Amino acid sequence: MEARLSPTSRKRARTALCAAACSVLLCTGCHRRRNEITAIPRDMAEALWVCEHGGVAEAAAREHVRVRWNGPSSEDAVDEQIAIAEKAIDNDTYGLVLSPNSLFAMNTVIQRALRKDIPVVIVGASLPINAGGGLTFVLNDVDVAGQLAANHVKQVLREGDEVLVTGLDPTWPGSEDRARAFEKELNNVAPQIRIADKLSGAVSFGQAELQAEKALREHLKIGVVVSLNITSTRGAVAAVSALRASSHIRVMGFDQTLDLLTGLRQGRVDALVVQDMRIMGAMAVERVVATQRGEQPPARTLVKPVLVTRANIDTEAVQQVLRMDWRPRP
Amino acid sequence: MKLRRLAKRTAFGTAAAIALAALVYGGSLYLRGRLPYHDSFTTNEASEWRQFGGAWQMRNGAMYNRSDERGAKLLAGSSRWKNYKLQTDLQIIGHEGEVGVVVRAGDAERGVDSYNGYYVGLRSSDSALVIGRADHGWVEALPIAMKGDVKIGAWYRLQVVAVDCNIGASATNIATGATSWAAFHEQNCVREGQIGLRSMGTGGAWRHLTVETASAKDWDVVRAHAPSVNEPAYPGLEADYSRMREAYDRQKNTSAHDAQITVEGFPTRAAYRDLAEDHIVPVEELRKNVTHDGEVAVRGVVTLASPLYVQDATGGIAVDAPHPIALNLGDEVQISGRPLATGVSPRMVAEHIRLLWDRTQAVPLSITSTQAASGAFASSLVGVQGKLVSRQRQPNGTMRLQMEDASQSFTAYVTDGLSMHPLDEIEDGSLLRLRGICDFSNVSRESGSFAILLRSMDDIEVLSGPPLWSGKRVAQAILAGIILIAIGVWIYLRIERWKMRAIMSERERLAHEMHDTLAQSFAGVGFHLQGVRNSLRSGKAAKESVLEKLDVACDLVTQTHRDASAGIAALHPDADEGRDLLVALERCLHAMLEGDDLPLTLVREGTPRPLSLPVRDALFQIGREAITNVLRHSGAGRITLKLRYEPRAVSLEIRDDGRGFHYDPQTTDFGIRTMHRRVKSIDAELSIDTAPGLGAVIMVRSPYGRKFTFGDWLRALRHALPHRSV
Repeated sequence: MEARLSPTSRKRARTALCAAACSVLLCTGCHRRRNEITAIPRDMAEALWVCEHGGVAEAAAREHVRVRWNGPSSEDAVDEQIAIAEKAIDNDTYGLVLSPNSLFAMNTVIQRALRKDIPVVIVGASLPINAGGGLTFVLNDVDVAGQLAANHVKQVLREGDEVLVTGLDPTWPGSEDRARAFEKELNNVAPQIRIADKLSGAVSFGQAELQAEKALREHLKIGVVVSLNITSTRGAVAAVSALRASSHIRVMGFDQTLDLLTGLRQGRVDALVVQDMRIMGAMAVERVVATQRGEQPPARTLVKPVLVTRANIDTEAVQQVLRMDWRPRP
Repeated sequence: MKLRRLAKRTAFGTAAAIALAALVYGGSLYLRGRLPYHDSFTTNEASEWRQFGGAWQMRNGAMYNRSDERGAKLLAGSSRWKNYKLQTDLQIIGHEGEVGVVVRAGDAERGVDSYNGYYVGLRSSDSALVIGRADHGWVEALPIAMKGDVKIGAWYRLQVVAVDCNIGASATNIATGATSWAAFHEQNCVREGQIGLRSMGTGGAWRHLTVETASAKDWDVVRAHAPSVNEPAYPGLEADYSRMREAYDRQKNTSAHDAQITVEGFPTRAAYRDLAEDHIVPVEELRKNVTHDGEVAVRGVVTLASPLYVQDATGGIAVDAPHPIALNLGDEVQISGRPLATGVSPRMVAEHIRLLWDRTQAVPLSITSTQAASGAFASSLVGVQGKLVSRQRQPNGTMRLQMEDASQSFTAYVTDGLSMHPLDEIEDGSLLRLRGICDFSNVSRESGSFAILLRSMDDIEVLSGPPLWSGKRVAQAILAGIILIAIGVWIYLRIERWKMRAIMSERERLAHEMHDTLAQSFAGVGFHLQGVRNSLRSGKAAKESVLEKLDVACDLVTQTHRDASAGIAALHPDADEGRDLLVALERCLHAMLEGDDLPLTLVREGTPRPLSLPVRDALFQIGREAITNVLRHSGAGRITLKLRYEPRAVSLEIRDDGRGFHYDPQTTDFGIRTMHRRVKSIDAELSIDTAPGLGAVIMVRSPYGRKFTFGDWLRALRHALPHRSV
């Protein structure tokens, strides 16, 4: 005695089984290698990263891939950045576009992504790991950044004045490279200029302000404060304002935020060395897509930064670098 | 048939159960997601809210976020809510930042703008009412200047209307009554989504939150009051943004960059310069009970807001504040006061607390439970692992977790938690990592070596579930085993019943067949023998007549014997042995003939294909029945078996040149009825072409049926194996 179904019933059952199997396969396919790049900046909100968002979104539309843009709530939230990257890897993202918050903490995550054949592109500042095997770098050209900063300091500094460098943080990707490049170029172009002090990075705006103010009180000949990151630039601007010394102490910073750009227009900031994050973001997406296609993109690509001053901020070229529209145009 | 009926019933029952479950689930979702909605902050039950960052607490009927985290969110409501009006009171706690609400939100995750929806809030840096669109990025409309500025610590009533692609808002300072209005429109808008609370860079409080359905009239009210309807445009081009800011600042007559932290009760940020740094001592020094004459000062980061704990690079200290103070996790403060000699836990009574700056991240130090129990990390922010032993909700709403590690037992407390429901999902025996303040002030014999004061439910991380062989899991495994055994026994009994029914059915068939053949034949023989006996008794019997009757009786016995042999041969298990259907039928025929000769022709047409087991079995049984009938009744001199493989069907034809019969489908004998039953079971067609004196052609045409399954191969293998003798 065995249950026998009619051919029609069997056909229906077969169709249902096939549909179920296809659904399972489809879902599995959706889960694996979905056509979505995960872009993780150091911070989501600052203008610098919004520019990158714009470049990433633009290139993604061009390459017909989707982008998941998410970053930590602050630049020092390393664990949040790791959690976002881990989640993306678990979801078998199409590629990782990453600007690590820490020089070393992301290495394990990057290795894990590469082991899963997920292309990784490091954007902005370099890490102490070798390119290859799916890992590529799209970097800000720190040598050019150093040249721009040194030349500007040489132009604006009065004879006998000294330079204060703030925001030095050995654990922060790109920090030492910037300092080294600036010092080297300053020695080349103006060996007579003395760096009075180099302040290590402060964790908050208030601490950066306090550090800068103390140093400015100690070194009375300082004519330019060169700040290597956003927090220290903000602190230096606040310190100079608090000391009412903006007439004879200029602040030059690396990287841009909306308040620093406003400060630049108002004369509180003398100049900013701005990374072309829009171009770098777009290139990073192209590198991911190229790697997925089996091509071998260049291991390292250097993108030149731009020196933004009150004189050139309204030029078309600078405004293009500072463009922050990340939404697809209708 | 029974099995099919049972399968149908099971399928129907399962479908009904699934439908019922879906109905109940959908109903609960509907009830949960229907409008109007009122918050449940007063009852300390906010299970519907989902946390994305922040340190959320409920107290005095309000929801608080006591962290400086940018973009901390709490979402609730239905993702299908479309046009609605949200109203809440809100307050900025601590220092400069933003506090507001999220509407029509979806796709949320932890991060500054990591959701898809709209945000409406108050921003202290430029004293603006802000509406903007977030989609893992941020675009805002022209900010609207708040009348009377945005005051930190003041309560505002915020009303948000979302109708079609319009978002309108009004914010009123509850104390002064000053109200500002903002209207916002976006093409290709988000049309539905959840509601949420959100803060940016500072703490906040929300209370009396309601949501109700909104209509175009609600939007018209906002539109009438708002100075303009703005679209999401900023930032975008830096130059445009800069011009907008300049215009806004001129209108406000302030510079955003000059904004200082204007905390009510606190001095400005620059006030730290006035503090004498000579008196600042490391917390470590106070912990070592170094005697300090008079007032001392410590500088540190707030690691727990209520009760207040502060930590510097050397350790943490509990602070008794003179009055409730609005500080957030991550605030850096300078505290002046008197240290207390409290043993291992440093503590001081504050006389002055000054906010220096904010958003300073304090990272918990990962230590073992034994290190924590040593007292070296008293009042410090630590991370400790342990196994959850039990939990208990105390009358004041505090949840107490009893933990143990390899060598220590300790307690963890969650006070004013956002919701204790996540704890319900954690099983006893789970390995947890807890982050919080290492406290010794309430250590007792029952509580263990030390206590961990958690800042929020986010401080509980489940590392792994309870071990596989915990008592609970063993009990569950035993229960599951018993259920499985019961199901197995039930299935076994069902199969035995089906088997018994099959045997009874076959017995019935055999009984009918014996009645139709053997019993009838023996009755005929008996009738003839009785006639002979009666003739002989009467003494009038003619020799020829007696001999004639005996001949008939002998013929009947011979025929009956032949029928019985054929039937027995057909029933033998080996009858269907062999893979070829025609060969099997030929063997069956020869067995029935028992050495007699009957010309047989076997014809095979088309390309042979494998037949499914049900089809092959049915064809064999029908063929055997037809051969039996030919041998019994037709007196045929030749029989032809033709097996034809067609593209979509297989047909078997049994043709004989015997005497034929009158075929009436309504009054067929048992054998023909059995053929029809078998044909029906495989969805085949049966045709019988016969007439008296014209022989008979019986043809069955069947689809090939399903392909061989693993089960069929097993059955075929069983056929191939030697049969067990009974």
